[in-house]
Amino acid sequence: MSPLPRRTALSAAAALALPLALPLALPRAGRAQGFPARQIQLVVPFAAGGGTDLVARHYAAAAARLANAQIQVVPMPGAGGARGSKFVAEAAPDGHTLLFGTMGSNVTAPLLNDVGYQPESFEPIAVVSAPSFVFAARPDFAAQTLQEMLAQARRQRLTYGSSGAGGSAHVAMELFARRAGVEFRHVPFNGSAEAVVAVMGRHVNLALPSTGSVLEQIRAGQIRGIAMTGDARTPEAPNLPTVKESGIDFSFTTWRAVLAPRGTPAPVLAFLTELSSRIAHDREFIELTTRVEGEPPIFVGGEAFRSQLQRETAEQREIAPTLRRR
Amino acid sequence: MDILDGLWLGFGVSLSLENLLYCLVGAVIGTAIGILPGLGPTTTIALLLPVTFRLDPIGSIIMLSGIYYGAMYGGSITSILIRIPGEAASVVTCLDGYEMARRGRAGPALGISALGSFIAGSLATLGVAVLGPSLAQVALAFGPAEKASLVLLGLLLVTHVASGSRLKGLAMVAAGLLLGAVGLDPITGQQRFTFGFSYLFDGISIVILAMGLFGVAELLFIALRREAPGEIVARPRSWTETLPSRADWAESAGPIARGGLLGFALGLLPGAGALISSFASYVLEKRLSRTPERFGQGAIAGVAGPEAANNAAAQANFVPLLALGIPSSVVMGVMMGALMIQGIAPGPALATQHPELFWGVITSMFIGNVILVLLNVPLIRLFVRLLDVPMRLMAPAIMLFCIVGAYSLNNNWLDVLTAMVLGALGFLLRLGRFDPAPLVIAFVLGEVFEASVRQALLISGGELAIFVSSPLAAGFVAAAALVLVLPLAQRLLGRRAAAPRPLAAPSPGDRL
Repeated sequence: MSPLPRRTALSAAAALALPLALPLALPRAGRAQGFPARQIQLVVPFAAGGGTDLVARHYAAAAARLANAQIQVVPMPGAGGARGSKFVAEAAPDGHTLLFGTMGSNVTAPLLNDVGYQPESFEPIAVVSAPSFVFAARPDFAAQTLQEMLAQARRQRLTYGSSGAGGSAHVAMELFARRAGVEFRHVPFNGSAEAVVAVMGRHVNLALPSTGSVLEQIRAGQIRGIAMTGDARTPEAPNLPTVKESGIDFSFTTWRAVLAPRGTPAPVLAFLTELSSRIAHDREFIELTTRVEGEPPIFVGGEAFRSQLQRETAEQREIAPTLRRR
Repeated sequence: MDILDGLWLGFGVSLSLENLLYCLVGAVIGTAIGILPGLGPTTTIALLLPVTFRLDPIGSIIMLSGIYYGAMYGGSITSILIRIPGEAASVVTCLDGYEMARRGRAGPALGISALGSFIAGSLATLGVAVLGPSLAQVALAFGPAEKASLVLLGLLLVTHVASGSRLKGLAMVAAGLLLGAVGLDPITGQQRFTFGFSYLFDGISIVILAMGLFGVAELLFIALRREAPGEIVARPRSWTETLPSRADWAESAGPIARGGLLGFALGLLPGAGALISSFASYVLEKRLSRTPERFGQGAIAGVAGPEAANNAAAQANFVPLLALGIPSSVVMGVMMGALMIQGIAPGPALATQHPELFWGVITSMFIGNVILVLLNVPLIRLFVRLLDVPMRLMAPAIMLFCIVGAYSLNNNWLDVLTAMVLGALGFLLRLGRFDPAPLVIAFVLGEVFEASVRQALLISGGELAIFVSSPLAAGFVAAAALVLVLPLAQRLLGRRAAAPRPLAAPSPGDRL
């Protein structure tokens, strides 16, 4: 094959793409002059190959595809997300070092330990994914509904397995127990997979894994979902009721989000929020992220994310002593 | 689906040219990272995940699993040749593998490790195919109480790993338990021995610990030695000496069979896996041996058993993921990520929904094991020749790999620093003739033991009866009691073994 036709095809593609890209590129250029000046480092404070890392990689790929923004994903795991988060909190606030954080790394971790930063040490850019949780029991668990489960919990001590002390499942369950006015016996495991195994093997009554991670076990009838903590039912499991439907005003989703060091200029933040919005609404990103999470991504940008952060920080600050207790 | 139908379908998939290539690539990468100290399968698979985004789903899983079990082959090579485990699960191979190499038997050690791995790996794969789903249900029976009592039994046997003084062995066990306690409390999340450093929140990584105490310490030790390199390790004189002899096979057959079984059983359990099973096999063989005093002096059974065990465990590790959709180790967690990226959610229905993937991956393990043995056995001569490279060139190169490996784990220079500090500690231990092996195993078992005891007590509301409430748990507790009482009873009855094991007998080949 001669190289000529291919080159022609490429320039034809470029010529076609150019007018499409221009209207999108121009207004942004006006808002954040000269940004990004170079490659953006997106720090993932959790291990490579994990859920957060994978969503971050899809985010970076979408940024390159949609806006030609070069984002390099840098895994910096350690201390429950505190290491990478601290690194970003202390980085130059110019938008070239960003954090792909979670509720665990940005809200819970600083409340439980002195990690060198606070939830307020970051400028929130955008939530791009918000996994919900599900009350998971064995299929032969007596209680069928959430109300029956609560009634049972008032009669006898129910145990629940979490992904670990101070992990999302622990936080979610403590907030829920508080709202519902019951107590559960907390048994922390090393990761939510171990907790699910403990439910299947009848060692604990309940677990609270992310909904997406147990859809297959629910479909196969090895785990029964009693209720999920999202605001609305997920299209992936339309028969799974929400906690709210069960009559308790409670919802809980954790999140994966892009954040910048405090003091990052507003135009840069606006640019990144808009970019995140485009990514979160991109079809390919939605499909790839849904595969990882088992639930479709969402978008909460800028100020809405900021007030969400403040609300969650206040909520968790209240239960922090409970989380530290045995 | 019938198993034979499944295997037929699977081989159709895994024998396609494309998938054979993926399998070969995985096996080669796995061997390579197994050899390189520090670069382990978890890191490698995680780093390669983005590469698989655009690959064929079955091909990428075949390749990634090849890396995992391939690393079990490669890991033993440096353990045997230079007493530096290429991979954490090969720590125990350092004990007798290296002693064999010192006696000019590097070839048979490498040979038995590759062939033993092959036999155990293939049989374990067959086990995964035939028994997989039903065994997954058995694994579920292991709750915190069962795990705690199993590990209790293990802990009581740890001191048997040590060569030399029983007291020094116990001291190392205590040190291992203490080091394992560093980090956030697994139940309450309180800081323990962290001195406020968030780096220590996660505790010390087993990979760093093994690399420091064995790898870096050995390199420091090499620097101290005055001898010409030729005197350190005797080289095989001829080609025939590079393969296990008939006598070697006779000595290794039992250990390979038992190690394979043990590894398979432990590999099924969440959180146990290759490292623990290799130690368990070593302890078992030493106990069963008629010549336990030869362990630590180059006993081929001490290489064959553990190497068979860690390979069988690596294959069995796939069972919970393939049969239940639940990852039982960090590596399997990453593997699950690889499946999900491809839009395949692993679950109990994986075998029926994606039979070509399920059976394709399982049959690829047979092929992968064949590739690995074909790859490794002919290379033994080459590997042995590596010993001709002067240590003054070899040691710095290995140190470089250790540093790169330690850093690559978390992109954290503090991991490198920790490996160096632990290396210095390991060096001092060597000088004092303390064997670091019991420290490593106590470190691993201690963490599992603490977490599962406390989980069990939380579940039972503080009732100790939970440890004998299930037949499994009660069985392990009874076995543990026997281990404690039997030697005592023997001593009281004056029926001590004809030749009492010498305490702290310096071995003829004792280094330094």
